[in-house]
Amino acid sequence: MSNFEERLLRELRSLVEAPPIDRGQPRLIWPGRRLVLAGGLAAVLAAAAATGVFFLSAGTQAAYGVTRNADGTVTVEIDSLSDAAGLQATLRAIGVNAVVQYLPAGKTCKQPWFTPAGAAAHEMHQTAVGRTSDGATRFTISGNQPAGTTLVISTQTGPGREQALGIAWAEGPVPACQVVDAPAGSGPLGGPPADGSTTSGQG
Amino acid sequence: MQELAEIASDPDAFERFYRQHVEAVQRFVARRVDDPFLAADLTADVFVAVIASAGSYRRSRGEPVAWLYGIARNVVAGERRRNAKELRNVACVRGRALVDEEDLAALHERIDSESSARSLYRELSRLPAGERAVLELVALDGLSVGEAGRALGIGGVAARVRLHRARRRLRSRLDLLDLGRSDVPEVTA
Repeated sequence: MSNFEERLLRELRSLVEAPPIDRGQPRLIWPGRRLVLAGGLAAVLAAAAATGVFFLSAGTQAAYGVTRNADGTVTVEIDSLSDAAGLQATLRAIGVNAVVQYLPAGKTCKQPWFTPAGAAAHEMHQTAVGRTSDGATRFTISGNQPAGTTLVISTQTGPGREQALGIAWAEGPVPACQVVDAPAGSGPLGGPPADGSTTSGQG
Repeated sequence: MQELAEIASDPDAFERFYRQHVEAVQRFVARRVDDPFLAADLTADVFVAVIASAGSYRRSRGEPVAWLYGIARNVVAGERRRNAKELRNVACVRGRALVDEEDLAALHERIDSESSARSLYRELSRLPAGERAVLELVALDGLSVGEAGRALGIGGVAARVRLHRARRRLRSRLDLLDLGRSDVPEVTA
């Protein structure tokens, strides 16, 4: 075989050797599924603690996917704000210390909820939080999580009571969330609204 | 016959399948595109789609080669299956990144040798999609009508009807075509 064919074979073999660990509930056959971003509002909700934020409509179905990639990174895909416990358990099962907290619209966790991790933890992100062509949200993180840190995935409430999803890294243990009413205009993960740009997911 | 479902999880089974079909897939692509880097990307995409779809393969959907060509056609036509696309997004297998100068020469050579087929491929774009699909697989890729039908998920009768209509339409445009055979036709444009 040619060099190209041999190299491609190696790449594809590694793909076969690292199949998806868990795909959650089947999520590829729902024509009615909707995960809709709310345009520029994402920028309003950006905060220093968050590495990605995006908006989702209500009424979606349960689904998520977690994939351990050939290079050791982990890709998380969230199709709807459901089954947080399942996603959290899946992440922990593959060695990602994570807390997943989905709350009803208009609710948030009482602040301060946890201690944000240092900048080094943010380097865990291999890709920005993004949106797939069929409306799911996806991000990829390193497989080498710093000791003592926790990946926090949590819903938040935007200025207009839109639901958002924030991704952050915590240092030390993450206490149980005390659910409180979210003040209008709260940032991701309950922080104050920021005036900076956000990462991705809008559009 | 190799159990196709295994190639999604067994690297050795996949390698056997790959070695058996990689040349055919590259020729399939070269009959449709003339950019060597795009051809490399599409070749990679076809096999990623194969991995993603192998678990759902059923013998009733045709022999492996017909199944493979059905996938390849979807990929090249930009109609790749959603799960294959997602898997590719995660895997980031980009064929063009694997091409060196020696490969480039081989890709050009393969593409040049399929220039007449690409002329026909372009001409087929004028046909209705359903008719085009059957004629494409029969005339360009050498599948039998039955295999083409299975590759496209339609019955043999429907495939023959579409092929007949396609030939009739195309004959008025390309008198040079001889598409009367139902298996491995010699085609010139």
